[in-house]
Amino acid sequence: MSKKILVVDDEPDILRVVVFRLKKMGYEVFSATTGKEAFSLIKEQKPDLMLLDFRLPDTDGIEISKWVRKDEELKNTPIILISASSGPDILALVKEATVNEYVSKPFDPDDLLAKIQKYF
Amino acid sequence: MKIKNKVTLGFLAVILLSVAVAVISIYELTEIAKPLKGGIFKSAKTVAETEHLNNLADSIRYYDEVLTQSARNYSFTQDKKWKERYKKAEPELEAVIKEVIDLGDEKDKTLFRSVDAANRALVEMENRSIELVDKGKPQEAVKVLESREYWSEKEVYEKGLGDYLGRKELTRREAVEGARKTLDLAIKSADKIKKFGVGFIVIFTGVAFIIAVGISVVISRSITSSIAKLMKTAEKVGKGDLDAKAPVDSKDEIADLSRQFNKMTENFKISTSSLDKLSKEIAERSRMAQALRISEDKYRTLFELSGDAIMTVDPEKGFLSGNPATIKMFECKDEREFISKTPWEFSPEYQPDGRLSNIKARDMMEIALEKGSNFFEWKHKRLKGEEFFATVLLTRIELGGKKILQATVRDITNEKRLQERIAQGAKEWESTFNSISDLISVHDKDFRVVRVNKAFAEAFGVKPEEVIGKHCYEIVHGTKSPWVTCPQKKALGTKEAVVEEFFEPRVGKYIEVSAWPILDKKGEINGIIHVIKDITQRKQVETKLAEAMETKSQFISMVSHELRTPLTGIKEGISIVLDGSAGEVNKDQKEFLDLAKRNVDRLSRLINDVLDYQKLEAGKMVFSLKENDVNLLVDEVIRIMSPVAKSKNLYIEAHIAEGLPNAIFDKDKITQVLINLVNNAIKFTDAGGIVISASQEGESILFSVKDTGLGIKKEDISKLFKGFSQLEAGRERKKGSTGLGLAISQKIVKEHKGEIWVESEPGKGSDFKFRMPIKAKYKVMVIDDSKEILDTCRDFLTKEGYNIVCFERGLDAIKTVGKDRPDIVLLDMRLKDINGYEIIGRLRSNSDTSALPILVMSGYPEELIKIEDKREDSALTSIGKPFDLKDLLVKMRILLKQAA
Repeated sequence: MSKKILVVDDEPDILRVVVFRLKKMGYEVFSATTGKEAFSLIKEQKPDLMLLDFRLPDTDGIEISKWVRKDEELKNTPIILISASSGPDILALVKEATVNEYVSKPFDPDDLLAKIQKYF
Repeated sequence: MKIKNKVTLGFLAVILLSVAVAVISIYELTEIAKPLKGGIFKSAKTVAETEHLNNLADSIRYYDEVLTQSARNYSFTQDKKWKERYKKAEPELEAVIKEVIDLGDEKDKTLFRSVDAANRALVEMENRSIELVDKGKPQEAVKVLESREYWSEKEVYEKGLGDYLGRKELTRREAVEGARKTLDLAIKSADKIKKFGVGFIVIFTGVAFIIAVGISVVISRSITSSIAKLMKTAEKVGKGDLDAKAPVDSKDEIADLSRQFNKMTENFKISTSSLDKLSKEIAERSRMAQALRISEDKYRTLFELSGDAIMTVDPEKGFLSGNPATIKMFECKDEREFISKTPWEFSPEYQPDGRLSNIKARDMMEIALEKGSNFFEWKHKRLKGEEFFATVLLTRIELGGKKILQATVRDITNEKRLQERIAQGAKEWESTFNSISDLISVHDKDFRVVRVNKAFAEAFGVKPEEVIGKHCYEIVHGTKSPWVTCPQKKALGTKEAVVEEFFEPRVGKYIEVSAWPILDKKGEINGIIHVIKDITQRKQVETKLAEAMETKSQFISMVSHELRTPLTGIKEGISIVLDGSAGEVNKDQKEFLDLAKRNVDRLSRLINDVLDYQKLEAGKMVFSLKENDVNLLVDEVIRIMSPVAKSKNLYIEAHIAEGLPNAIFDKDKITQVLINLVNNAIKFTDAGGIVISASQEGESILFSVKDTGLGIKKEDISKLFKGFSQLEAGRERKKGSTGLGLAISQKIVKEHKGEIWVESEPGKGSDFKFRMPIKAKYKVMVIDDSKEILDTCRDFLTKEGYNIVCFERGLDAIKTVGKDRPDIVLLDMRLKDINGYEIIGRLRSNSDTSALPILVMSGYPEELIKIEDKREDSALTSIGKPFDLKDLLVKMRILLKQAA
């Protein structure tokens, strides 16, 4: 059974590219453009890994990851944060939220895939 | 002397005086008349005598004629009547001649003797002729009468008579003249007498009268004064002055009377003096008693009503009395309770100086008893225990032969508190003054130092108290007169604070010097607060900031440009694959190539926006201001934006007011603004649509882009027009915008001397508005003595939408600068009348043009350097000749932007 991956990004173009690539790799991919959609998909599908954009229109990747870590059933789900910003402040947030990986835009597709495969 | 005698003496004196006056007048009149009497008689006599002698001479002539004719006629006719006539006349003539000789003076006599002699000779010859006739010899007789002898005698005779007559005529004239003179004298004398008579009589009678009156007054006074004295004395005695004595200073009857009167008074006095003494004593005692009562009343009132606590104290026995204020002050029930206490009970144990209150109080009382009074400060205590400060005045008074003290106590708690507060305030002020790191000195209006703070004293190596009274310039500049640019001088004149900044090469620092006038109630300057501030750090930061801004600007500009190159490569690469020139593209490939292209375009847009923003901020954006039709502008925007609106199912409409005039603006830039606004409107509107409207509003055109979208929260509106800020807002980013659109729009509108704002209500939509002048032309004053340059500038700048005024002469330009009010001046440094520096100086010294942007155009590098050195004048910059007109425009725009 293929692994379920949730991709959350408010940029349709980015979403489209990432989803396309992951599907080609044989993963089952769900995508969301807002926090609201993301939460319902997480609860519904219980993905094996999440790619979260840092900034979303209604919330951000950090908030989602914090929520996930509090959930008994989901707290060990690997989370990779993707952001256009980089810098110490983001890194601090990453630590605090205990996301597993951090990828900055524009990302190298091979690097991203390697980081995903590490958890499977 | 008896009174009768006195009066008699007076009468005698008056009579004597009258006689004297009469005698004197008679004498005086006689004296005046004297010369008159003799004179008149004498002259009258002389005239009469002369007249008589003249008559005699006439008689002589007559008789002579009779004799001569008779003798001749007889000799010729021999008629006896002629002989008779002759004989009759002859003695007559002789008698007359004799009379003349008798009457005449010596000279007459001498003269007449020759006449007499000649007469005798003639008579003799005539008698001879008569005899000859008688003898019958008439021829002989005629011969005698016609002989030479006869005629010569006749001649002598005639001559003598003539001389005599001449002399007599002279004498007569003299006599008449003498008489006339005498008569004149007589008239004058008569006049004199008349005058004298009147004057003398008036004066002498007056004097006599006065003397007479004087005499009578003296006499009467000598009589009445003694009577008056006696009367006065009597009056005095009548009023009770028994010591009065009538004077006995004469020997008349009144003196006797006075003597008697005095004796009588003496007797009376002896009998009344004892009674008088008694009554006097009684009066005095009653007066004193009343005075005492009044003063007692006064004292009582004062004592009872006084706000000060007044009490009496016996140094040995304690309090004797206390007024109501005392009772109140020490919180006693009544005076009885007060008196029952000892003085120490109203004081704390110790006074502030550490002495025991009771010992010190004794000392104070001792001093008061000894010196009469003692004034000092005392710490008191009320009965309930509250302590307070008071002043005490102890005064020694005597009561029933015993020395006691009156104490006046005044509560000075409030004064004390106020004093402490003032002292505290002064201390705080002093500490504040000295803790300020700026160098502060306070001067009087004559530049003399009143005080300086610690920083000042340290900076100039002086002690604060040493410099008081010295001139500030001696300390600060080491000069004998105020510094040329001293702001204090200016402040004394304007009565307003003056702040100046400059670089002080002696200490290598930037200094801000300010002078703040201290005005009194009348608004006159009392003094000056002078502050020297080291602003080197601020200046350095300012400089660094400016440099940093410049670096940032250059960096962004460079990076953006650098980004464009690879971007072009990417874009072109994608395009080539996408259009199939590099082989067939399948569906998936096409999808991702489109995606790539879309994002590359977005990146290009972003870079362009950043560059635009940067250019606008640095003032390097070139605007092409031209006359444009607003209708065409809006049509163009509608045309571009319609497809975008349609894709979201939104309507887009234009409402343009009729008769809108053409306006001057950069069409591309304003189009960019409108597209920005419409784009935003479409992005944030999901239903409804957008209305673009344009209308005239005074001298401006008002544009509006109104949507029916989300609207904007009030707190977000202020952030709206700030560059890059929108990038932070997630909602904005989602729409794929750079967030620079509004910032750029605002800058463009400002460049057109306009303004942009938004009216919005969340949920109902937003209305972005901007307004700009119809003729947003800058006025440029070009001063250059080269006609060629003036023409070039005029042509080029007019085309660029500027208003131009040109001047070949600097003085003409300066004259009209107040009227023309240019926005910028382009200035050539070498003019025919005055040089450019002078023009700059004059413009800067006038408050209207002190910040007017000036762009110096010069072909001389040393002048350009000089201008660039004037860093402190930010509205002054330069451009080297020959210049590119585009560069000129850029420099102008930067200057204009800074000025705005």
